Amino acid sequence: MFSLGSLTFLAPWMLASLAAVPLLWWLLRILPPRPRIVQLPTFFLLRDLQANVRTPAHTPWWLLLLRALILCLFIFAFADPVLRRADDIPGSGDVLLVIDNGWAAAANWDKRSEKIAEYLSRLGRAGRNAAMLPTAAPEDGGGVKMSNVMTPEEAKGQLTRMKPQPWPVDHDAARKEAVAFLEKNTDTHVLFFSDGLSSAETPVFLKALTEKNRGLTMLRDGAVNRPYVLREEERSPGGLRLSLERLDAAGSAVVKLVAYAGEGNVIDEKTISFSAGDKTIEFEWSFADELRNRVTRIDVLQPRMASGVFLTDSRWQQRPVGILSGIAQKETAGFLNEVYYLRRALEGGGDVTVDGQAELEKKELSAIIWPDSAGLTAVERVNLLNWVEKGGFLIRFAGPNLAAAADDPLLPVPLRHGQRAMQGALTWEKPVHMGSIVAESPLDGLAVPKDVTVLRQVLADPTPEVLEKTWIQLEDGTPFVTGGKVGKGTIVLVHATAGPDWSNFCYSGLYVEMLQRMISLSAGIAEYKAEKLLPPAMLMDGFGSLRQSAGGIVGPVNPAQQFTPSPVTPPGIYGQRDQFKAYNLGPALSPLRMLEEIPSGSLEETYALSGEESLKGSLATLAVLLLLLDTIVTLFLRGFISLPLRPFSAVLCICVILFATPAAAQEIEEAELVSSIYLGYIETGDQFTDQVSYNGLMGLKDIVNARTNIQIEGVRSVDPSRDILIYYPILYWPMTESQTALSISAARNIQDYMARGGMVVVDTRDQQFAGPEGLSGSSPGTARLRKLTENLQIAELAPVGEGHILTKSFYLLDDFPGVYQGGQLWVEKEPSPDYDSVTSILIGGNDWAAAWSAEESDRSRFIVTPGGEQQREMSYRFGVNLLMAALAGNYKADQVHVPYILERMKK
Amino acid sequence: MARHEHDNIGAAARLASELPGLLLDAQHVAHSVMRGLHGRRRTGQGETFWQFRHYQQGDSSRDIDWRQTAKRDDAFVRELEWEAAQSIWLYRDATASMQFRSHARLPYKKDYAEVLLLALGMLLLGGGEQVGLLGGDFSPQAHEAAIARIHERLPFQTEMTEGARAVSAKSQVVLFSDFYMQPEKLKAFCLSLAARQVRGVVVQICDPAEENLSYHGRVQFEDIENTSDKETIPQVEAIRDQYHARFQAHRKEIADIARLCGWHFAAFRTDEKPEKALSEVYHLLQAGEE
Repeated sequence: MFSLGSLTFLAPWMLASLAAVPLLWWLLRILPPRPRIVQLPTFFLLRDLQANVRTPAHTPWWLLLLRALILCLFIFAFADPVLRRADDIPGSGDVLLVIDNGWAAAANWDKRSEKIAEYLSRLGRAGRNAAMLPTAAPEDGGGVKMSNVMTPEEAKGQLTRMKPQPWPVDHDAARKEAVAFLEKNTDTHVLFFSDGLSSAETPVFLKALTEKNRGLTMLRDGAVNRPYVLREEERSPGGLRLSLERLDAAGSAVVKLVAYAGEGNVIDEKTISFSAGDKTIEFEWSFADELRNRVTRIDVLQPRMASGVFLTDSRWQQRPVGILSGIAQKETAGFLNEVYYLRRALEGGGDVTVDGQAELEKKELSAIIWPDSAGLTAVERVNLLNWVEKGGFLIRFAGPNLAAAADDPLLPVPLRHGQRAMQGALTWEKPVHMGSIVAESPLDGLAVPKDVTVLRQVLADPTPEVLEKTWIQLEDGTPFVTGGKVGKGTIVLVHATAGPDWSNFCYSGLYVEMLQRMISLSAGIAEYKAEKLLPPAMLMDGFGSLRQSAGGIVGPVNPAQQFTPSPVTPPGIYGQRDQFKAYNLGPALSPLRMLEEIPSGSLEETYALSGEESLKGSLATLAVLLLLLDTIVTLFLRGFISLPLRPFSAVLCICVILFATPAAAQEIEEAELVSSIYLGYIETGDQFTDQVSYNGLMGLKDIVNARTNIQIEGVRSVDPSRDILIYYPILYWPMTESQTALSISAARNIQDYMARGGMVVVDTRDQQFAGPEGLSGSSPGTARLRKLTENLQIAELAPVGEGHILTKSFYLLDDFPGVYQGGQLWVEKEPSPDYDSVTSILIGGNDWAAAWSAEESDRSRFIVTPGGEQQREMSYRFGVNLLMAALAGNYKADQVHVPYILERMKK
Repeated sequence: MARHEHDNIGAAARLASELPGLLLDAQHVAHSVMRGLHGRRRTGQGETFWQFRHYQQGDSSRDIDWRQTAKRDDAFVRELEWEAAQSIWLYRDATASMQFRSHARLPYKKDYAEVLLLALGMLLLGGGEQVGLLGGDFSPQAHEAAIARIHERLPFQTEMTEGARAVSAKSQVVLFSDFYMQPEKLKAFCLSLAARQVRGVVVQICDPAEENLSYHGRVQFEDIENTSDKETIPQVEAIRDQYHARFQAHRKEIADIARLCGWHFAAFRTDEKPEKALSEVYHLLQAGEE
């Protein structure tokens, strides 16, 4: 072996043949190339010319050099050169590969197995054999077991079948196996591919591996060993509290989390930033009301591993509601019955049971609604109070019974005796209108209808605490909905009846929204009763993917006992029919401890590949290419091919195209942009959002191309500070948290675009947080919009009204849904007639791109709420209308008169 | 100079199959040149009216056009176009040196010569002249069918001799060849004709490579008529100028022979358009008539 810096020749004796190169030089010099033969009619003119012009015939020097180079390249190639050759593995006997393949090894498993494969290649070169010891128990229940001694090739085959398991490693069992092997094979060197974690047994294991001065090479690496553990903390109303733990507190890290709905649709995503020193971060994740119950799993996006997956179960998704009823309700029929209104309001919202208190108490309920007409006995009241104090959520409606009752403990606020009547034979007061929802109350964000009036109500005692507990006020400031904590639970009182007796509140949308919001605030049902064993349903693998349980050794889980992940009970979903319970890996893991103590005398390495590279192939390829060049040159010299000018220029053209300067490429691109229609979106810099914008516009493109005469060529991302915008009929501009305000030049560019007939579609993507007041409100997206557009001069805006061009440019539409529905769409109040009176800006918050986005391989479609696929269709229709208006102007606006014109023509 | 024999049956069949194509080419060339010619514009003894002119002393009274004279004050004579038929003998060289082209894009010199010959024949027949093949077995004919006959007999014209039918006095001869021969041989032939007041046009047809020696580097040249005669030039570029001087000298020699006999000389390269060559040769022939 012979080394030159990082270059090593494995067959250096081949280099001796370099001595033959001067010989070749000499041979070529004395043997000139064969001349080209030409038959010429004018030969007689040449006949005696040659004497005075004959010069010695030689192979040209550059051709000589080329051929010498080819020969040298071949010699070097056969000398088997290797760049950055890795050191040999110490020792001479077989090698034991101890491989951590527990849950933590799922982080960067590919890099691990690449490194192991590299070691196996090196072993193969040295002619040594290997035995492998995976330290996690195999899924067949056989326990940690050492493989036989194999050739490195066989070991590679076994390595491809090895995978990280969703349970911890068992270093104790591994130690016993290893010691038994090492007793017999005393000259064995050990390679330990660590996952970076240390358990109680790990030091003992390491000590056993180094006994009797046996060689040990430890592999650990902060870059590869980056496990994350996701755990659920206490639930918070409107969202959930999670904690994310990492192994190494040094340095900062950014982790992306994604929440999925049942069908694998993305609901939301979140970025968690660790700064140096943070080991665990607790955070709260809030979702829109309808979305929260649809979350089925939350994943750490990178690295994909079982410990970074949080599965939700029926405790999460189902919120069974009980409605208390007495004999009175069972007898009263139809519209006079309060229960009728409550049931209607809760329709589609899940499991509703109507029964007496004793029966309801036997069921797992997340909330109980108590209409006033249901009378309870004293015992039942005490039981109900107990239930609330344990965490129940009670929604109580007022009525004549409550008004008549004296001090009732099941109330959030003390009440005055009696009731207040606003309309009747003895009063001149007018019915009172609904006022406002108290800011920062749990009901904040719901829209208050104008036409709800209250005829009678119970009045709260005006104590100072009433103000804090008021959720909705009437116009005159009296509390209408009050709520407060009682024990661990909550009691909410609506100061009117659940039916229409006291108020027309039960006819309004707010009634429905309020009930749904309240139920979603409730804690969900308690743990399952302990006596039942849960059979496995869906099991998780080491990377956190779920698959159907295939039976085997996997057994049922006893919910009464602490869950420990093992081959018998891997993490996953257990249960039957509608009772499923998720067992996540994260909560079952103890806090992570980094492996720090390394036995002295052992070698240490990282998972970084040594970068060893054989140059044999590339050198031989280069030599063959040069040989080809030599052949062409020789043919040319001998005149078999003349200088092929035309093909040559074609090749030159291709080269120019391939290596064209950006300017040339841009010209081509601009020509392309002018000749066909492209949709543009503004780059936000957030990869996820940009991808959604791209996919969304691509989805819209397909719809528009299929349904209309517009033929859209493609979708381009646009940077307003750099690109020319005028080519795009619309510019989609999603608002993200990370965007900074427009630079002056970018703002001028966009201003210019709008002034010349362009249309900017601004999407704040936060309709679910926006109040009914829309842009004047203070939702996060609106605030961001203000910040981002502060350099833009936007004309006066007005909401899209009836008959606006956007409602009829292709389809007839009433609203413009995206992922979210409702919300106001704002356009220019008086658009410039120069451009067909088409608005130059459009602002909304329904997250259209997400709704439009077509199926894609790595990300599935976003779910659309609450309307599902029908709403998605409507969002496509809005997109078509939008493009029609942008491209065809107000031409469709004239069509409004067509019915009248036709009618007149008939006459 | 060795002659390339054409009596091989296979070669004749190949040639015969090529000829219709050749004839078409010739027709195409002739037609495009004909478009530029409008009569002969010379007074003569033809049948076509040419012009009226005032009666002059010495004109025969038979020539007076009475109808025209009656219309005017003066006497007018009716002149007819000159239509004396000329005999033109055509020849193209068929030696091996004519069977050459330096590039697949170019025509063989022989093909180029044949196209020119046939096209010229058509053009002359169209002008009422009598056309025949030098050394052929028929006298020049003015009939349209003559071209078919020339076409048919062309493969048998192998030598630049008069053959059975001697060239009649005061007729014209057109010779298409590269003239890579002993100048003395051409000189003897031309002078023998010129003695009989035969006029003619000597048309040299060359390949561009012959004129420029457009080869590079080391080349082994062989004589096309005798391939055992070879010479290796190590650097063609080095001798190109000398060669060119020799080539021009040879051409001047040929041109001088033509001038000596009072004939015209023209040289064309096979990369030039045959239409251009044809119209030039045609005008040289006209000049020869005067």
